[in-house]
Amino acid sequence: MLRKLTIGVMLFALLLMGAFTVLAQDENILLYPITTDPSHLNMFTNDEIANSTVLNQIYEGLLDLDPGTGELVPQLAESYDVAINDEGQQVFTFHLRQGVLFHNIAGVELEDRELTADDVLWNFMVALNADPDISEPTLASNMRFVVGAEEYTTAMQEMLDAGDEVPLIMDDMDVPGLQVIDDYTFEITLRTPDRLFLVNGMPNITSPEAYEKLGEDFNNTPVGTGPFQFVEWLRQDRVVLEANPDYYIEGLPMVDGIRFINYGDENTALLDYREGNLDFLFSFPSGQRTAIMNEFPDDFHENAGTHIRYWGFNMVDGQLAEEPLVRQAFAYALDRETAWNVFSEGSRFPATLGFLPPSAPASTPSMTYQYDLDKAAELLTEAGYPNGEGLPTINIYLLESISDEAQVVVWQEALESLGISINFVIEDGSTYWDNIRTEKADIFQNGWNAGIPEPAEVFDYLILNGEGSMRWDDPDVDALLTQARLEIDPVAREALYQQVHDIVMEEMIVIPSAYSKIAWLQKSYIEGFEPGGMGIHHANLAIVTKSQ
Amino acid sequence: MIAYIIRRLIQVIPTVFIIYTIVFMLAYAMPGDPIKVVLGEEVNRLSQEQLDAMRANLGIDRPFLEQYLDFLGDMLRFDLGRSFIQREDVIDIIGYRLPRTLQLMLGGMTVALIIGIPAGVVSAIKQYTWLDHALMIFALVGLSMPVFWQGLVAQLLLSSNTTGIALFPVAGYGDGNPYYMILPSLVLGTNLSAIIARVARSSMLEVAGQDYINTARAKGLKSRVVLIRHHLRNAIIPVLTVVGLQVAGLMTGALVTETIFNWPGLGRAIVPAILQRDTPVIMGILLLGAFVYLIVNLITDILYAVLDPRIRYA
Repeated sequence: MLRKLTIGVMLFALLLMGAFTVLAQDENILLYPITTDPSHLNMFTNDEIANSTVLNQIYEGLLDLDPGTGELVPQLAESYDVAINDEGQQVFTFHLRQGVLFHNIAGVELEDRELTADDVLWNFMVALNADPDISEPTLASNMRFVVGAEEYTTAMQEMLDAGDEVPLIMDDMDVPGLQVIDDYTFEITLRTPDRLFLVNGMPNITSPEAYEKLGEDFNNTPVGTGPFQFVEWLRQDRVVLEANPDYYIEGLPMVDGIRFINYGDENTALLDYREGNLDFLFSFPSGQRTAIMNEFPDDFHENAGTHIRYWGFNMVDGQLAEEPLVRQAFAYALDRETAWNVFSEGSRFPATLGFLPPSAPASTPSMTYQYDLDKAAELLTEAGYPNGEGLPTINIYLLESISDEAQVVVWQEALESLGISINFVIEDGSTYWDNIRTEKADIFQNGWNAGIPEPAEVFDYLILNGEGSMRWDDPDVDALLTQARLEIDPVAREALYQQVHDIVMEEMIVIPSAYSKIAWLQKSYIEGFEPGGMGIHHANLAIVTKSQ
Repeated sequence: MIAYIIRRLIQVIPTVFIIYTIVFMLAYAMPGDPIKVVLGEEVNRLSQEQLDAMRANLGIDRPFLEQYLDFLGDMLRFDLGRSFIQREDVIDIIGYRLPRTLQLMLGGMTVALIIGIPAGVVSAIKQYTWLDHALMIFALVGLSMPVFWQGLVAQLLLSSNTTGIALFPVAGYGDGNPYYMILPSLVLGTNLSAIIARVARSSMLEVAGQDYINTARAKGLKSRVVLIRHHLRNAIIPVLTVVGLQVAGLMTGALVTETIFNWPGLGRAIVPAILQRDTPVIMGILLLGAFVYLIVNLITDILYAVLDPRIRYA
């Protein structure tokens, strides 16, 4: 009898524990799924979206991009002035907000520590550090137009190359383009005007004391000025943030905290959403998109994104590098509508325009390639390969993580119907990026996230100076792109990008396949969640309410 | 016995060294570059000098022998290095996850033994009856079901009011709350219980005809005493062998179970590490797995002697 009673009590205790777990979900805390655990939470060395999802709620920069419009909006700087000095250099003067306090969290204890221009300078100097263990090299790269920045980073790089240990900041070398005017005024001088500097050239701001105090732990304990402050991170389980009680915008954030819950499996996340254990769902199990839309018609939301899926041609030593007509035939043979709307359940918009996100200026090139097999066959004949005869087997490289996309099969069938022999090679990211830049690959599958609807964010990285994996380098196009980067007048700038876009599409360097959609589920009691087109990780969670 | 244990422990050292060498060679031979895996096409934003600096910083630009000896020296000092991706010491990565994986393995093993041994015993006692057939069919089904599928079905049936009864949480670690451990343990243990049940049954049947069982019965001992003290105790040794060998299988099963149930264990660390070519993490976890496997085998051998007085180690 006693044994049975003991077992009964134990079972009851277990059930009670479960009940308490359910009760915990009623708090005013956002339950936010993430499918990839952050690799670390160091803002200086961050280069991953998974990390940014968390860091964007903790850190702020001088300016921010509005997730909805992509326009620059004030953040730690309440305003800024732009001028051209006597030497033709561009000078930005930032007026910092007063009364902004750094997070005062356990282990750091920064009571009433106010942000000043000295802190801003310190952050910019650390961002210029050439040691990749201290600062992600793209930060220095984006700041290359700041007067003295390149010299500073180069000097540090030379020390590294010589095997010397580099300091966090070199006290004996100044960067004249970064100046503290007074406690609340910070000035940046660029040696040449650069429109995009404000968009992607500036680091976020952390507390120098926190950085020093935390040491190695800065990798997993972020300290910023944003609407949420760090509480704990249990690897591959959850990251917990709480509302910053001293946030400078009164009334924000609207919720008491965020619990980023890490899921290894999308089906599990879906089940938890269904059971009410999540407020959002951002990643849908493969093949279940339509079923999910039908099951949660009121929870389903969708935005156009800025990511482009495309097929690139090897323009240096690929077998089609000197075959523009064949490249065009390949473009006409891609049935984007069937691939993306039919077989992929509308997960992306078929790319019926060009190589830029549709919301970007100059996004409609003079020449587009709508699905037309007859036209493709004509072009093949014109190129001297009627019914594909005489054309060698074309090697198409597929990136393992996206190789199962329906567009692959749809395109394969169309190309084979034209008599073209193709050979698919599937590789994972460890070898793919090297091999697609060799003669092994004639065509490769790829994608690019512009981040903002801005032509330079695509062309400057994939076309300018032959930097993209197509390795297509055209001096005339490079000159147009350089001119466009410096052009202040938006109309003239758009015209320049339009010229580039037209050339790229006429030459058929890449076959645009699809434009991204940002799709998600959110519970009916959630309001204010507007991720815009820049990606879910850019959503401002401070303005989200949970009226459960 | 103590001399035997010490000798076996000493044997672990060259075995781990050989495993280290093989694993290091495999990791080194893996094509790819962790920097490019992480950055993808974004690598275009960096100059060759910056890329070289990043490679030098990770130490992956050095020749094989240099890396091999360096890592070996570090390992002998119990320094498993630093993750290329997570910017954290591997020892800390393992230290955080190992107890969680062991916890899950222990839960799975408990379930497997609780289900497997009674099922095997009952099946043997009731040989060729409907109960025997039913239990063995059940075991066969359990053995045939992949862990990931079992996990999904278990979640649908036992964690969701929409598709079943929500008795347990869908997933998560729940700060060590044992309630969160039940469902993943059930899933992990069911598969193993099928193997244990089948081995236990055949072993029980083999022992059933032994003279000492007949002697025990002839002495007038109660059936329960014969079953537990003489029959089961002698039949358990092959089961123990299987359990020992299955520890590795349990670890592999735990990797899948951890993913489905969001369990923050070693499995969820090694999979991304392999995909991202994070060699220090791969090396650390594989070496640990090998070490655990060797130790469990040693413990199994010692238990033989505890259970069977005829077995003695010199």
